[in-house]
Amino acid sequence: MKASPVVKLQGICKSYGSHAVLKNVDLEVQAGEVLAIIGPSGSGKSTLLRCINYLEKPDSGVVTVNGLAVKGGTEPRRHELFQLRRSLGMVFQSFNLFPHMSVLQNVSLPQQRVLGRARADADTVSMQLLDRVGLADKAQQYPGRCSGGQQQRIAIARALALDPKVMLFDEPTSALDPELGLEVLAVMRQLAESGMTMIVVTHEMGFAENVSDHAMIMADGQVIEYGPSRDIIRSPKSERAVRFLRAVNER
Amino acid sequence: MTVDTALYILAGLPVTIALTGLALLFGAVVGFPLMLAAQSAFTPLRLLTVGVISFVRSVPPILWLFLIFFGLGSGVVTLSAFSAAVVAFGLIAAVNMAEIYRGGMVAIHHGQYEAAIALNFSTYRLYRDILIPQMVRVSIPSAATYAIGLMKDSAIASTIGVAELAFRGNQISLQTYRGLEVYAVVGLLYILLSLPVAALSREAERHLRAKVSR
Repeated sequence: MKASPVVKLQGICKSYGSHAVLKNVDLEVQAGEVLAIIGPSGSGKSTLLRCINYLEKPDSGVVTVNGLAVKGGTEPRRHELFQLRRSLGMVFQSFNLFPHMSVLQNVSLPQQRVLGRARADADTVSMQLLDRVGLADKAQQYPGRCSGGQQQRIAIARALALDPKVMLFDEPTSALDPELGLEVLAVMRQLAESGMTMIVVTHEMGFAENVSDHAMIMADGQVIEYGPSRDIIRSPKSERAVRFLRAVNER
Repeated sequence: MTVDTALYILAGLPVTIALTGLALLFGAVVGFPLMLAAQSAFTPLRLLTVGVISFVRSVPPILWLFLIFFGLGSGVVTLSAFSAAVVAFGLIAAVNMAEIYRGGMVAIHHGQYEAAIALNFSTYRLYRDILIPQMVRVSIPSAATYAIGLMKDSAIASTIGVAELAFRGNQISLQTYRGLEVYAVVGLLYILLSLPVAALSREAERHLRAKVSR
């Protein structure tokens, strides 16, 4: 029997004014799976990702994460949002570390505030995670003194510190030059190998093809291709997907 | 200038400092809830606060001073000249600090809100741990500039008889007919007061600007 998905989106719609950004999108992600969402900019992929943790409120549809269903189009209750977000870690394109706190505080403070962990326990967890992303020696620095790649790895550690079931990545390497992007991708690959469930909006075709289990191509607010990532990226069926992937490969 | 007159003028220094300091303190504290109310999602509160802020700002300081000292003083509540000046400048400082804080909030990158929300920070914690510390850092240079301006404006309090620097300078000048040198000394004292504020602000800016996301 197929296990029930950790993340399930049903009929997600979202418009800004008269502009429909998401048109009835469905999605399922199983535990331990890595899904890459690719597609041209403006296709709605980031908005879709942000609907999962309700940074954007879907106009209609149902978001189900770890058994908790939140219905779009209504004002969700505060404890529902809290529960939903408890299961989800998020990594942003622009890192969004807290610039007025040391690297260690960045990773420790959410644990203290959200999980109620004691500072010493939080620091222990933070140091383990910073070590895992290769930045234990930066613990006392401020984010402004770290490279973009280092900041993004710290942001990954910060999200992991709250024990999420699923990690959401919103173009995690798009703001980085290629070399710094590689160190972030290495951490993400390691995370995928450790069995973390991941949904990754990305333009990194190598990552999508080699690390993710499934890939989804979006265009104009709709899913135009979905399947095992190698099949999708090597032999897309729809004309729109072929066009997009050719454009990517020609770069 | 005799030692006596010099000492008499110098005795205005603590009065100017106290008046400016108390007004600024009041403004820094009251300005914060004012800024929040001016951005409130609750429209009546927002409109009311924005109205009050622009009303207070568009009336000249000297008029506020007269309104509170002579206006309220004649019957409603009797205030000493110094207290009336603190209230008037405190009121003006509060609306100006609210504007400075608002500028500080606008400077914070929206990603800071999103990160805190995604991490499940409560609204209180978002403000307390993330927004306010960054807002304060951004606000320091403008607040220091404003503090210097307020200190110079506090000379207006001499018109209701607060014995601060300008008042004392004026008295000595009337007694001695040596206005030029007396006012030169008073002017020098204002400059001396503003120098450390400006220096502190530059130092603070140098240290803190790097720790704010934009």
